[in-house]
Amino acid sequence: MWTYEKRLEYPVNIKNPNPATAKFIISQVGGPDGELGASQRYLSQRYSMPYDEVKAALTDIGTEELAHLEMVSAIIHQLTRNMTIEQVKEAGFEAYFVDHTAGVYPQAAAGVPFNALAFASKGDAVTDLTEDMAAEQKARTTYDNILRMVDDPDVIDPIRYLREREIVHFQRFGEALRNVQDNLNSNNFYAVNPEFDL
Amino acid sequence: MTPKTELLRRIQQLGFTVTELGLYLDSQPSSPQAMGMLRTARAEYLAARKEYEDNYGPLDITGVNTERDGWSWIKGPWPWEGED
Repeated sequence: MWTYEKRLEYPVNIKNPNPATAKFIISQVGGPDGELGASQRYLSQRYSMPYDEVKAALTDIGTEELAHLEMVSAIIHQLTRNMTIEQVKEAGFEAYFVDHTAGVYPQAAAGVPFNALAFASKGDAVTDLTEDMAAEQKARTTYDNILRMVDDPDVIDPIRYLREREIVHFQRFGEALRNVQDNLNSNNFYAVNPEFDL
Repeated sequence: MTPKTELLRRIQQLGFTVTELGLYLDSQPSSPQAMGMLRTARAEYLAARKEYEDNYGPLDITGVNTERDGWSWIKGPWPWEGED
């Protein structure tokens, strides 16, 4: 069960519209390594996960990813509000604009709509946590790539925060994987799938 | 039904009442009748949550009695396991 808190996890206050920047940051809303996929990946994986510590980590990180989805969506909103048609054209934002105006729609930077394959729930504890560690690194790389291309400090500040959280989550998933392995046969972690066989 | 499950059912009923009245007030914010019902349900909801957390464990991450129970947040059963 969830309730909504009427605040962002970390502030987003962007003064100047910049649809050219929104065009690629949108990938962290609905791209392959974005926050929508992250949240539903971890929250989907919880159900068949057998260890309480790992259920807690998936629940808490999945919930925080929902807060990150809201932050990135707020960044897209603030980069595209009050923009003029001239700015839309100069930024090459026409393709997004014609389908979604200044609405927030989950898609990858190249314009591909969100793909549920990003959820990646395999039902095997070692597989899923390895996936999750890679996912956090992929999101970190995406934020690094975004930081290479952005010069507005109002955008850089919340993106740096989000990048840092990817690193913390990677660390926590590594601990969760170790926790799972501590419950398995140390000579062969793959003798059973603890989500199915135990 | 155990006292714990009974109290949880009460929280679910009161929580739903708060959700439903809140939704009604979103589009009819000046209804004094709905506002009165919300105030009553909200007070009962918050009291029931406190009673539950004092006796049975946390409902959210701020509700952990760390002195008495340590980090009981991780303790099962989790809600999706169908045990209450």
